[in-house]
Amino acid sequence: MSINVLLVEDDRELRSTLRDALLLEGYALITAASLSEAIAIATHSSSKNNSLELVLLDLGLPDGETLLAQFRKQVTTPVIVISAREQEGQKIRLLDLGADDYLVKPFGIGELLARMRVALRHKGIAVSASITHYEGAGVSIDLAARFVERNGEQIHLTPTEFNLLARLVRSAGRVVTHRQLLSDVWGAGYIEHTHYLRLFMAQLRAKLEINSADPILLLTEPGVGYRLMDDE
Amino acid sequence: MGAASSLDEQSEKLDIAQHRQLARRIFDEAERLNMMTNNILQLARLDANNRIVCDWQSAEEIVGDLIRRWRGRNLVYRLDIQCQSVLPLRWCDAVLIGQLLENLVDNALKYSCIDALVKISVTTQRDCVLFAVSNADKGIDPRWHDKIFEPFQRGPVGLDDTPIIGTGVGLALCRAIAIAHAGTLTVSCPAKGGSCFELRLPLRDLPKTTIISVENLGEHS
Repeated sequence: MSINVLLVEDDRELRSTLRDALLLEGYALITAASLSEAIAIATHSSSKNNSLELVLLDLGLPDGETLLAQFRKQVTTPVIVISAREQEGQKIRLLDLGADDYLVKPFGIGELLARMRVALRHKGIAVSASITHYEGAGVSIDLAARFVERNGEQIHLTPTEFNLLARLVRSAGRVVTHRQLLSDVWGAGYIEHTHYLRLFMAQLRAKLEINSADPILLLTEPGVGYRLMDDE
Repeated sequence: MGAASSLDEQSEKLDIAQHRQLARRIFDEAERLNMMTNNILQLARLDANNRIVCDWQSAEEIVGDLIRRWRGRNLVYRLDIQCQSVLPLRWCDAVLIGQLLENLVDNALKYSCIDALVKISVTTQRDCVLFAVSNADKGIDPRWHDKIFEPFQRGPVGLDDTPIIGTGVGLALCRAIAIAHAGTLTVSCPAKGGSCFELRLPLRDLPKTTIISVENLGEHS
Protein backbone atom coordinates (compact mmCIF):
# COMPACT_ATOMS: atom_id res chain seq x y z
CA MET A 1 0.00 0.00 0.00
CA SER A 2 1.45 3.31 -0.94
CA ILE A 3 1.32 6.28 1.37
CA ASN A 4 -1.35 8.93 0.71
CA VAL A 5 0.11 12.39 0.35
CA LEU A 6 -1.89 15.57 -0.15
CA LEU A 7 0.00 18.25 -2.05
CA VAL A 8 -1.51 21.72 -1.68
CA GLU A 9 0.21 23.87 -4.27
CA ASP A 10 -1.13 26.74 -6.37
CA ASP A 11 1.83 26.94 -8.74
CA ARG A 12 0.97 24.58 -11.59
CA GLU A 13 4.57 23.92 -12.67
CA LEU A 14 5.78 23.11 -9.20
CA ARG A 15 2.69 21.01 -8.54
CA SER A 16 3.30 18.82 -11.54
CA THR A 17 7.06 18.53 -10.90
CA LEU A 18 6.52 17.50 -7.30
CA ARG A 19 3.70 15.13 -8.23
CA ASP A 20 5.81 13.34 -10.83
CA ALA A 21 8.82 13.12 -8.52
CA LEU A 22 6.76 11.71 -5.64
CA LEU A 23 4.89 9.26 -7.86
CA LEU A 24 8.30 7.97 -8.99
CA GLU A 25 9.12 7.33 -5.34
CA GLY A 26 5.96 5.28 -4.92
CA TYR A 27 3.76 7.74 -3.06
CA ALA A 28 0.05 8.05 -3.85
CA LEU A 29 -0.59 11.69 -4.66
CA ILE A 30 -3.70 13.80 -4.26
CA THR A 31 -3.24 17.39 -5.39
CA ALA A 32 -5.16 20.51 -4.51
CA ALA A 33 -4.69 23.90 -6.15
CA SER A 34 -6.65 25.87 -3.61
CA LEU A 35 -7.37 25.92 0.08
CA SER A 36 -11.07 25.11 -0.29
CA GLU A 37 -10.19 22.14 -2.47
CA ALA A 38 -7.68 20.96 0.14
CA ILE A 39 -10.19 21.27 2.96
CA ALA A 40 -12.80 19.37 0.96
CA ILE A 41 -10.31 16.57 0.32
CA ALA A 42 -9.28 16.48 3.95
CA THR A 43 -12.87 16.31 5.16
CA HIS A 44 -13.74 13.65 2.64
CA SER A 45 -10.72 11.46 3.34
CA SER A 46 -11.18 11.59 7.11
CA SER A 47 -14.68 10.18 6.73
CA LYS A 48 -13.35 7.24 4.74
CA ASN A 49 -10.63 4.78 5.56
CA ASN A 50 -8.01 5.98 3.10
CA SER A 51 -6.92 8.79 5.37
CA LEU A 52 -4.17 11.22 4.46
CA GLU A 53 -0.81 10.35 5.89
CA LEU A 54 1.13 13.47 4.99
CA VAL A 55 0.37 17.00 3.82
CA LEU A 56 2.69 19.25 1.83
CA LEU A 57 1.38 22.80 2.15
CA ASP A 58 2.68 25.68 0.06
CA LEU A 59 2.48 29.05 1.78
CA GLY A 60 1.84 30.75 -1.55
CA LEU A 61 -1.82 30.12 -0.77
CA PRO A 62 -3.45 32.70 1.45
CA ASP A 63 -4.66 31.65 4.87
CA GLY A 64 -2.61 28.47 5.28
CA GLU A 65 -3.30 28.78 9.00
CA THR A 66 -6.94 27.81 8.51
CA LEU A 67 -5.93 24.67 6.71
CA LEU A 68 -3.38 23.80 9.36
CA ALA A 69 -6.00 24.22 12.08
CA GLN A 70 -8.25 21.87 10.11
CA PHE A 71 -5.55 19.21 9.91
CA ARG A 72 -4.64 19.60 13.55
CA LYS A 73 -8.24 18.69 14.38
CA GLN A 74 -7.67 15.41 12.59
CA VAL A 75 -4.89 14.73 15.05
CA THR A 76 -1.81 13.14 13.62
CA THR A 77 -1.45 14.00 9.93
CA PRO A 78 2.02 15.52 9.64
CA VAL A 79 2.20 18.83 7.76
CA ILE A 80 5.32 20.04 5.96
CA VAL A 81 5.24 23.70 5.02
CA ILE A 82 6.79 24.85 1.73
CA SER A 83 7.67 28.51 1.81
CA ALA A 84 9.41 31.19 -0.18
CA ARG A 85 12.36 32.95 1.35
CA GLU A 86 10.44 36.12 2.14
CA GLN A 87 7.72 34.25 4.05
CA GLU A 88 9.91 33.78 7.10
CA GLY A 89 7.37 35.15 9.58
CA GLN A 90 4.43 33.16 8.25
CA LYS A 91 6.48 29.98 8.18
CA ILE A 92 7.53 30.35 11.82
CA ARG A 93 3.91 31.03 12.83
CA LEU A 94 2.81 27.79 11.20
CA LEU A 95 5.59 25.82 12.85
CA ASP A 96 4.62 27.31 16.20
CA LEU A 97 1.02 26.32 15.44
CA GLY A 98 2.05 22.71 14.99
CA ALA A 99 3.33 22.22 11.43
CA ASP A 100 5.93 19.48 11.55
CA ASP A 101 8.67 20.83 9.35
CA TYR A 102 9.44 23.20 6.50
CA LEU A 103 11.31 23.57 3.25
CA VAL A 104 12.36 26.82 1.63
CA LYS A 105 12.00 27.17 -2.14
CA PRO A 106 13.98 26.33 -4.17
CA PHE A 107 14.75 22.91 -2.67
CA GLY A 108 16.07 19.62 -3.99
CA ILE A 109 13.95 16.48 -4.25
CA GLY A 110 16.42 14.64 -2.00
CA GLU A 111 15.81 17.21 0.73
CA LEU A 112 12.03 16.89 0.35
CA LEU A 113 12.13 13.09 0.54
CA ALA A 114 14.31 13.20 3.65
CA ARG A 115 11.90 15.59 5.40
CA MET A 116 8.95 13.41 4.41
CA ARG A 117 10.59 10.26 5.77
CA VAL A 118 11.24 11.89 9.13
CA ALA A 119 7.71 13.36 9.33
CA LEU A 120 6.13 10.01 8.48
CA ARG A 121 8.21 8.19 11.02
CA HIS A 122 6.96 10.53 13.72
CA LYS A 123 3.42 10.39 12.39
CA GLY A 124 2.91 14.02 13.22
CA ILE A 125 2.82 13.57 16.96
CA ALA A 126 4.11 16.97 17.95
CA VAL A 127 6.20 15.79 20.87
CA SER A 128 6.52 12.08 21.25
CA ALA A 129 7.03 11.15 24.87
CA SER A 130 7.81 7.62 23.77
CA ILE A 131 11.15 8.53 22.20
CA THR A 132 13.68 7.99 24.95
CA HIS A 133 16.77 6.86 23.06
CA TYR A 134 18.94 8.58 20.54
CA GLU A 135 22.09 7.51 18.75
CA GLY A 136 23.99 9.71 16.34
CA ALA A 137 27.48 10.99 15.53
CA GLY A 138 29.10 9.02 18.36
CA VAL A 139 26.63 10.38 20.90
CA SER A 140 24.24 8.12 22.78
CA ILE A 141 21.37 9.53 24.82
CA ASP A 142 19.07 7.68 27.22
CA LEU A 143 16.43 10.12 28.43
CA ALA A 144 14.82 7.79 30.97
CA ALA A 145 18.15 7.13 32.68
CA ARG A 146 19.23 10.78 32.14
CA PHE A 147 22.42 9.39 30.67
CA VAL A 148 24.46 10.94 27.87
CA GLU A 149 27.72 9.62 26.50
CA ARG A 150 30.06 10.54 23.68
CA ASN A 151 32.42 7.93 22.26
CA GLY A 152 31.84 5.77 25.33
CA GLU A 153 32.58 8.55 27.80
CA GLN A 154 29.86 9.90 30.05
CA ILE A 155 29.02 13.57 29.51
CA HIS A 156 27.78 15.59 32.46
CA LEU A 157 25.00 18.03 31.64
CA THR A 158 23.35 20.63 33.84
CA PRO A 159 19.59 20.15 34.30
CA THR A 160 18.76 22.89 31.78
CA GLU A 161 21.24 21.55 29.24
CA PHE A 162 19.66 18.12 29.66
CA ASN A 163 16.10 19.44 29.29
CA LEU A 164 17.03 21.31 26.15
CA LEU A 165 18.67 18.23 24.66
CA ALA A 166 15.72 16.04 25.69
CA ARG A 167 13.28 18.34 23.91
CA LEU A 168 15.31 18.05 20.71
CA VAL A 169 15.62 14.27 21.07
CA ARG A 170 11.83 13.96 21.21
CA SER A 171 11.65 15.74 17.84
CA ALA A 172 14.84 14.23 16.40
CA GLY A 173 15.26 15.03 12.72
CA ARG A 174 12.65 17.79 12.84
CA VAL A 175 12.98 21.49 13.35
CA VAL A 176 11.96 22.88 16.75
CA THR A 177 11.33 26.63 16.79
CA HIS A 178 12.95 29.03 19.25
CA ARG A 179 9.56 29.71 20.77
CA GLN A 180 8.78 26.01 21.26
CA LEU A 181 12.16 25.38 22.90
CA LEU A 182 11.94 28.39 25.20
CA SER A 183 8.41 27.61 26.21
CA ASP A 184 8.97 23.86 26.75
CA VAL A 185 12.34 24.13 28.50
CA TRP A 186 12.10 27.40 30.41
CA GLY A 187 8.38 28.10 30.51
CA ALA A 188 5.80 30.18 28.65
CA GLY A 189 7.07 33.40 30.26
CA TYR A 190 10.46 33.05 28.58
CA ILE A 191 9.59 33.02 24.88
CA GLU A 192 11.27 36.36 24.27
CA HIS A 193 14.55 35.31 25.87
CA THR A 194 16.28 33.84 22.83
CA HIS A 195 19.71 34.63 24.24
CA TYR A 196 19.22 31.90 26.88
CA LEU A 197 18.80 29.48 24.04
CA ARG A 198 21.95 30.66 22.25
CA LEU A 199 24.05 30.45 25.39
CA PHE A 200 22.83 27.02 26.45
CA MET A 201 23.08 25.72 22.91
CA ALA A 202 26.70 26.91 22.79
CA GLN A 203 27.37 25.03 26.05
CA LEU A 204 25.70 21.87 24.76
CA ARG A 205 27.71 22.03 21.55
CA ALA A 206 30.94 22.53 23.49
CA LYS A 207 30.16 19.26 25.30
CA LEU A 208 28.78 17.19 22.43
CA GLU A 209 30.29 18.44 19.17
CA ILE A 210 33.81 17.92 17.87
CA ASN A 211 33.84 21.41 16.38
CA SER A 212 31.06 23.59 17.70
CA ALA A 213 31.39 26.08 14.83
CA ASP A 214 30.66 23.20 12.46
CA PRO A 215 28.04 21.14 14.30
CA ILE A 216 26.89 17.81 12.91
CA LEU A 217 24.47 16.95 15.71
CA LEU A 218 22.89 20.18 16.97
CA LEU A 219 22.04 21.97 13.75
CA THR A 220 21.05 25.62 13.44
CA GLU A 221 18.03 26.60 11.34
CA PRO A 222 18.81 30.29 10.94
CA GLY A 223 16.00 32.54 12.08
CA VAL A 224 13.78 29.55 12.89
CA GLY A 225 15.18 27.24 15.52
CA TYR A 226 17.25 24.09 15.94
CA ARG A 227 17.20 20.56 14.62
CA LEU A 228 18.84 17.50 16.12
CA MET A 229 20.37 15.41 13.34
CA ASP A 230 18.04 12.55 12.37
CA ASP A 231 19.05 9.51 14.43
CA GLU A 232 20.80 6.51 12.96
CA MET B 1 19.68 27.95 -21.20
CA GLY B 2 22.22 26.21 -23.44
CA ALA B 3 22.32 23.15 -21.21
CA ALA B 4 18.53 23.04 -20.90
CA SER B 5 17.93 23.32 -24.63
CA SER B 6 20.56 20.67 -25.32
CA LEU B 7 18.69 18.31 -22.96
CA ASP B 8 15.45 19.22 -24.63
CA GLU B 9 16.52 18.96 -28.26
CA GLN B 10 19.35 16.42 -28.26
CA SER B 11 18.08 14.09 -25.58
CA GLU B 12 18.20 10.86 -27.58
CA LYS B 13 21.79 11.49 -28.72
CA LEU B 14 23.11 12.01 -25.21
CA ASP B 15 24.36 9.26 -22.93
CA ILE B 16 23.60 9.09 -19.19
CA ALA B 17 26.82 10.81 -18.19
CA GLN B 18 26.11 13.71 -20.55
CA HIS B 19 22.55 13.95 -19.22
CA ARG B 20 23.91 14.18 -15.70
CA GLN B 21 26.49 16.77 -16.62
CA LEU B 22 23.92 19.00 -18.30
CA ALA B 23 21.48 18.62 -15.43
CA ARG B 24 24.29 19.53 -13.03
CA ARG B 25 25.08 22.63 -15.06
CA ILE B 26 21.44 23.72 -15.03
CA PHE B 27 21.36 23.15 -11.29
CA ASP B 28 24.46 25.28 -10.71
CA GLU B 29 23.16 28.06 -12.93
CA ALA B 30 19.75 27.97 -11.25
CA GLU B 31 21.49 28.27 -7.89
CA ARG B 32 23.45 31.29 -9.11
CA LEU B 33 20.32 32.86 -10.54
CA ASN B 34 18.53 32.26 -7.26
CA MET B 35 21.31 33.96 -5.31
CA MET B 36 21.27 36.91 -7.71
CA THR B 37 17.49 37.25 -7.47
CA ASN B 38 17.62 37.08 -3.68
CA ASN B 39 20.27 39.80 -3.68
CA ILE B 40 18.22 42.10 -5.88
CA LEU B 41 15.00 41.51 -3.93
CA GLN B 42 16.70 42.01 -0.59
CA LEU B 43 18.40 45.19 -1.73
CA ALA B 44 15.07 46.54 -2.95
CA ARG B 45 13.44 45.58 0.36
CA LEU B 46 16.12 47.30 2.45
CA ASP B 47 15.83 50.31 0.18
CA ALA B 48 12.08 50.45 0.65
CA ASN B 49 11.77 50.06 4.42
CA ASN B 50 15.15 49.24 5.96
CA ARG B 51 13.38 46.80 8.25
CA ILE B 52 15.54 44.07 9.75
CA VAL B 53 14.54 41.35 12.21
CA CYS B 54 17.09 41.47 15.00
CA ASP B 55 17.58 39.03 17.81
CA TRP B 56 20.49 37.88 19.98
CA GLN B 57 22.52 35.74 17.61
CA SER B 58 25.65 33.73 17.94
CA ALA B 59 28.44 34.49 15.46
CA GLU B 60 29.49 30.87 15.76
CA GLU B 61 26.08 29.74 14.48
CA ILE B 62 26.16 32.20 11.61
CA VAL B 63 29.57 30.88 10.54
CA GLY B 64 28.36 27.30 11.08
CA ASP B 65 25.50 27.89 8.69
CA LEU B 66 27.95 29.30 6.13
CA ILE B 67 30.07 26.14 6.38
CA ARG B 68 26.98 24.00 5.88
CA ARG B 69 26.02 25.83 2.69
CA TRP B 70 29.45 25.39 1.14
CA ARG B 71 29.58 21.79 2.21
CA GLY B 72 26.41 21.30 0.13
CA ARG B 73 28.30 22.73 -2.86
CA ASN B 74 31.37 20.57 -2.14
CA LEU B 75 33.53 23.65 -1.69
CA VAL B 76 34.10 23.56 2.03
CA TYR B 77 37.68 22.34 1.52
CA ARG B 78 38.51 25.80 0.14
CA LEU B 79 37.47 27.58 3.33
CA ASP B 80 39.94 28.28 6.09
CA ILE B 81 37.85 29.27 9.08
CA GLN B 82 39.13 30.83 12.27
CA CYS B 83 36.40 31.51 14.78
CA GLN B 84 37.50 32.86 18.15
CA SER B 85 36.39 30.32 20.74
CA VAL B 86 34.22 32.51 22.94
CA LEU B 87 32.37 35.16 20.97
CA PRO B 88 29.79 37.47 22.49
CA LEU B 89 26.21 37.24 21.26
CA ARG B 90 25.38 39.75 18.56
CA TRP B 91 22.16 41.74 18.22
CA CYS B 92 21.52 41.28 14.50
CA ASP B 93 19.44 39.75 11.72
CA ALA B 94 21.04 36.31 11.28
CA VAL B 95 19.47 35.67 7.90
CA LEU B 96 20.81 38.94 6.47
CA ILE B 97 24.28 38.63 8.01
CA GLY B 98 24.36 35.09 6.60
CA GLN B 99 23.45 36.42 3.17
CA LEU B 100 26.13 39.12 3.43
CA LEU B 101 28.86 36.61 4.33
CA GLU B 102 27.68 34.21 1.64
CA ASN B 103 28.14 36.96 -0.95
CA LEU B 104 31.61 37.87 0.34
CA VAL B 105 32.74 34.24 0.37
CA ASP B 106 31.22 33.62 -3.06
CA ASN B 107 33.14 36.59 -4.48
CA ALA B 108 36.35 35.58 -2.76
CA LEU B 109 36.08 32.07 -4.24
CA LYS B 110 35.13 33.39 -7.67
CA TYR B 111 38.06 35.76 -7.91
CA SER B 112 40.82 33.43 -6.85
CA CYS B 113 42.47 30.42 -8.51
CA ILE B 114 40.71 27.09 -8.40
CA ASP B 115 41.69 25.37 -5.14
CA ALA B 116 43.06 28.54 -3.53
CA LEU B 117 41.91 29.00 0.06
CA VAL B 118 39.53 31.69 1.25
CA LYS B 119 40.10 32.83 4.82
CA ILE B 120 37.18 33.63 7.09
CA SER B 121 37.83 34.89 10.58
CA VAL B 122 35.65 36.17 13.38
CA THR B 123 37.18 38.05 16.30
CA THR B 124 36.07 40.43 19.02
CA GLN B 125 37.62 43.86 18.89
CA ARG B 126 37.36 46.51 21.60
CA ASP B 127 33.90 47.70 20.59
CA CYS B 128 32.83 45.47 17.72
CA VAL B 129 32.80 42.00 16.25
CA LEU B 130 34.97 41.75 13.16
CA PHE B 131 34.14 39.33 10.35
CA ALA B 132 36.94 39.19 7.76
CA VAL B 133 36.84 37.38 4.43
CA SER B 134 40.06 37.39 2.43
CA ASN B 135 41.63 35.64 -0.51
CA ALA B 136 44.91 35.70 -2.41
CA ASP B 137 43.66 37.19 -5.68
CA LYS B 138 45.46 39.92 -7.53
CA GLY B 139 43.85 42.66 -5.49
CA ILE B 140 41.49 45.48 -6.30
CA ASP B 141 42.50 48.82 -7.77
CA PRO B 142 42.39 51.31 -4.83
CA ARG B 143 40.37 53.74 -6.97
CA TRP B 144 37.58 51.19 -6.89
CA HIS B 145 37.62 50.47 -3.15
CA ASP B 146 34.54 52.57 -2.55
CA LYS B 147 32.88 52.30 -5.94
CA ILE B 148 32.50 48.52 -5.84
CA PHE B 149 29.92 48.92 -3.08
CA GLU B 150 27.70 51.09 -5.25
CA PRO B 151 24.90 49.30 -7.10
CA PHE B 152 25.49 48.32 -10.74
CA GLN B 153 29.12 49.47 -10.71
CA ARG B 154 31.09 47.23 -13.00
CA GLY B 155 34.51 47.79 -14.36
CA PRO B 156 38.02 46.47 -14.70
CA VAL B 157 38.43 46.57 -10.93
CA GLY B 158 41.21 43.98 -10.78
CA LEU B 159 44.76 45.34 -10.66
CA ASP B 160 45.40 43.43 -13.89
CA ASP B 161 42.12 44.56 -15.47
CA THR B 162 40.34 41.34 -14.50
CA PRO B 163 36.83 41.65 -15.84
CA ILE B 164 34.13 41.20 -13.25
CA ILE B 165 31.12 39.02 -13.94
CA GLY B 166 27.76 39.46 -12.25
CA THR B 167 25.26 42.26 -11.91
CA GLY B 168 26.97 44.55 -9.43
CA VAL B 169 24.33 43.99 -6.79
CA GLY B 170 26.02 41.60 -4.35
CA LEU B 171 28.42 44.05 -2.72
CA ALA B 172 25.85 46.85 -2.75
CA LEU B 173 23.54 44.59 -0.78
CA CYS B 174 26.38 43.64 1.59
CA ARG B 175 27.02 47.26 2.41
CA ALA B 176 23.30 48.01 2.79
CA ILE B 177 23.02 45.15 5.30
CA ALA B 178 26.07 46.41 7.22
CA ILE B 179 24.63 49.93 7.37
CA ALA B 180 21.21 48.65 8.48
CA HIS B 181 23.06 47.11 11.44
CA ALA B 182 24.93 50.37 12.19
CA GLY B 183 28.07 48.57 11.09
CA THR B 184 30.67 49.11 8.39
CA LEU B 185 31.93 47.09 5.44
CA THR B 186 35.27 47.98 3.88
CA VAL B 187 37.85 46.45 1.59
CA SER B 188 41.60 46.63 1.76
CA CYS B 189 44.37 45.07 -0.28
CA PRO B 190 47.37 44.10 1.81
CA ALA B 191 50.80 44.71 0.26
CA LYS B 192 51.48 40.97 0.14
CA GLY B 193 48.54 40.57 -2.25
CA GLY B 194 44.92 39.54 -2.16
CA SER B 195 41.92 41.43 -0.95
CA CYS B 196 40.29 41.48 2.45
CA PHE B 197 36.68 42.47 3.15
CA GLU B 198 35.97 43.47 6.74
CA LEU B 199 32.56 43.69 8.34
CA ARG B 200 32.41 45.42 11.72
CA LEU B 201 29.28 45.15 13.80
CA PRO B 202 29.12 47.24 16.97
CA LEU B 203 28.81 45.37 20.26
CA ARG B 204 25.77 45.87 22.40
CA ASP B 205 25.52 44.83 26.04
CA LEU B 206 23.22 42.02 27.04
CA PRO B 207 20.72 43.38 29.58
CA LYS B 208 22.35 43.07 33.03
CA THR B 209 19.43 41.31 34.68
CA THR B 210 19.61 38.77 31.90
CA ILE B 211 23.24 37.92 32.54
CA ILE B 212 22.56 37.23 36.21
CA SER B 213 19.58 35.03 35.52
CA VAL B 214 21.40 33.09 32.82
CA GLU B 215 24.18 32.23 35.26
CA ASN B 216 21.69 31.03 37.81
CA LEU B 217 19.44 29.30 35.39
CA GLY B 218 19.72 25.58 34.96
CA GLU B 219 21.43 24.77 38.23
CA HIS B 220 18.65 26.12 40.43
CA SER B 221 15.65 25.58 38.23
